[in-house]
Amino acid sequence: MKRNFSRKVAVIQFPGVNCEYETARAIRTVGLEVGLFRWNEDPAVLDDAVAIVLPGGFSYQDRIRAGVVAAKDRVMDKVSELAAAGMPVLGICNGAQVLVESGFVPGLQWESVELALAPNIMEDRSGYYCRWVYSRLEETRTAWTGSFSEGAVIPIPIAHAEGRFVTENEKVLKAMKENGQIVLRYCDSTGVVDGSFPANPNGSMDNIAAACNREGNVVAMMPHPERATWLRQVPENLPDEWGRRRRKGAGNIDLLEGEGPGRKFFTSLLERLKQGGVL
Amino acid sequence: MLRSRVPAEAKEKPYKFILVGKPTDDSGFGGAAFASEDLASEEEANRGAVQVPDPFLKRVLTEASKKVLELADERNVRIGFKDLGAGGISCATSEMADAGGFGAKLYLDRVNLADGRYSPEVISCSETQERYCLAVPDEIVADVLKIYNEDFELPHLYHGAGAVVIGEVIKEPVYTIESGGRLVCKAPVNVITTGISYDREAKPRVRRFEEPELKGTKMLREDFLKIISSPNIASKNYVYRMYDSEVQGRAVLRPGEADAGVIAPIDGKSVGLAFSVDGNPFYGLIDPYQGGALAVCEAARNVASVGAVPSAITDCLNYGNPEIEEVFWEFKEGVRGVGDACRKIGLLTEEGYPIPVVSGNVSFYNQGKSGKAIPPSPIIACVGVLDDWSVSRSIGFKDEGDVLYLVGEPLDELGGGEYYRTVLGTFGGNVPKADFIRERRQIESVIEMHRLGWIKAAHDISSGGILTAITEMAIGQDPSNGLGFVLDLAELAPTGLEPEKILFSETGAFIVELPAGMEREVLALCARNRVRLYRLGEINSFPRLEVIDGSERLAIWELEELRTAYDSGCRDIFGVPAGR
Repeated sequence: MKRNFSRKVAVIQFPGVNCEYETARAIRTVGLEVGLFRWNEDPAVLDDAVAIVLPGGFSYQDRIRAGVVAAKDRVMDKVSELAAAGMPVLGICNGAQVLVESGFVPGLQWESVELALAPNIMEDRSGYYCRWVYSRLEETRTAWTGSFSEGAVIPIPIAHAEGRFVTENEKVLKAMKENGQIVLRYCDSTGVVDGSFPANPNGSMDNIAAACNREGNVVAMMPHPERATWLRQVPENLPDEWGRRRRKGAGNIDLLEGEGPGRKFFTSLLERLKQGGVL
Repeated sequence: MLRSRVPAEAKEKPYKFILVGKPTDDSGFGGAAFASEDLASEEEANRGAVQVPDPFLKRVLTEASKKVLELADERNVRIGFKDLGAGGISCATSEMADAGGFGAKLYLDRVNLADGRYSPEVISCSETQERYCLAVPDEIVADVLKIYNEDFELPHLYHGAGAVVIGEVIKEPVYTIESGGRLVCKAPVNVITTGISYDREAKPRVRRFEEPELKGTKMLREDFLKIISSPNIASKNYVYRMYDSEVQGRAVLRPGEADAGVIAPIDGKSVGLAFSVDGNPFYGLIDPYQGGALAVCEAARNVASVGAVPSAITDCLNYGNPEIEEVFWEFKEGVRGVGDACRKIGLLTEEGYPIPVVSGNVSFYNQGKSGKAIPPSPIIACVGVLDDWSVSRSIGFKDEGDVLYLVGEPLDELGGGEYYRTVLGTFGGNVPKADFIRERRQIESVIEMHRLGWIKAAHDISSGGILTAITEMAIGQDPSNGLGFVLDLAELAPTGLEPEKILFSETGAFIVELPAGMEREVLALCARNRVRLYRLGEINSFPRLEVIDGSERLAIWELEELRTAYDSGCRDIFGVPAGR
């Protein structure tokens, strides 16, 4: 049976990922079609896809280190080829770890690993950390952020043990800044980036929460936009406009099923595909 | 519905047993023997008795099994499916066969094994995790094996994992196991699946618990900071952050945000599910019957706090050595308490039906070499169902001018509670007495208020009493709002209790936050449901908590100092500030 990804966003299901279904739902919510691609299917079917998303989870059980085994999977050769041709690619959490381990982000040199997602460094604790944090949007030029306004403060959950962006050396970080490859920075609820825990929840270098390749079509982000796609998902006590909106929505399912702070990552893709004449 | 039994179709066509998952090893072998060991530091000696879980493999197995179910659906065949638990292969296959009215023939030589040599009894009884047993008709056996072994590559993802045919369904109700060409087991199948019953003696444990002398409210300020920072009350955020409370994207309320967690499980549907887990060993210490009953009451209250109807419970019953007559009595009393609470609170949706106990777990022999058993510790998890998850609210204060009401009434029931233990250093004697009719009426009232859309926040009264509940509501708010509250004991004067008993009584009740101007409606609703109601006062815009008695101020706290105490209370246990 030949799989058909025509006009669809392909969500790649590596063994051990666990966010593929809500990610697919979030993408469908903005009006895009989605297909799940099991890691060992024939990668050629992805040629027809309009975009690729690597969802969160624990691909290959985080063996060796998070993302590194999936990065060597056969399907990633195809992702590399399609990304090079300009196809939008988003890696969320474990997906971001796969993109970094594949060398697609930052991609200054061809598929060379210049970035790592290292174990979290936090105050008074270590390991896995699941919490709503704030991030500031630094780049609207990417395929996944065009619908946001520059500097938008986005509340969004993180859930990872290895999410600390570290560059190979100062030169890489400098180049990323110059090229506009830092997409999100951790900040406080007012948008101030000061680098201290818990605003920066994992000790990430330069407060990086998401980064992209030079061209901006491939984005690796540690926070989970599919967990902030519906207003219902927002905690009632967030100290910001989203918290107020969430409280106002109580008792009204239509409002609570409405837009959450992270939905625009997917809306941006839809807009980009329409602008590019892909859809 | 997929059943854990051999389908009736096995009368007409041949069925095979397929074992899938992790290669069988000796982990978990002798789980039953482990359960009769006293707890001590012989961890190593017992390691074989402990099961070793692997969520990665479980996830891949789940995805593959979904495809198997799709296949069975497409091909229009019925299959049986069962998780391997206690007793491993022999238990799963005999139960599946017996439940369908069949027998089974198993060949242990076909079972995929981890590296090592295992005797037939280990292979057939070990409790290796991440294994399932399927009963499938011959016509789809090859396709099922292909899904597990090729499409999802189990043998490549995990050394030795995979799906294999380990036996067949037979019509005679006989259960046989062959190993190395030898018959190692042959018995009527129902002999294997029928339980063994013990006769145990029970004798009431005699302990004296007395009520303490009260010391007044002079030190209320300091005393309450001790309570709010005691590990039983303080924030558990340090723990909640270690787990993924967002995965699947269906969270409505997360752990710590309310008395129960809430999810919206079905796309496009308003139905919600609420979950809570509860238990207080100190109640059981004083009165094991109340320990069991109160655990159910509180778990039910917790889901009602978010507007859900308590619909089922599961229990985890933790006791000492049941061969000791007093311990077995404690166990019997606990079970009686759980049962009474389920029957007498009952299902709100089906008059006359108990809250079902859908599963459970018993852990005996929880005691050290000294012979000192743990206090009777029944833990109850409750599932609640919501018609509409959008009414579920966090416990935090919402708006200035809103009114707090107490649904229920404090009684002289502080025994085993936080105030006596933390401040007076004693257990006391007056453990709360579960009043099932009162609990049911209060639960019904709060759920009704949720349905009417009145409730902006709700929190049940339990450990630490009214003052603790109000404080947790203040701490749970949007911190940029800075809302506070003045609790006037004069409002509760009709209870006739001393101030500290009003503040810290652990009698089951609720605090609800409603918009201003609803006094008449609330009073009418509570009168109709025959529950007590006290209007406690209005939420103000000063970030402070104050307790007064008429014109006399008993204590005042800045919200920030309460938050700090609450957030750092688990430092001694976790070795870290627990708040963030």
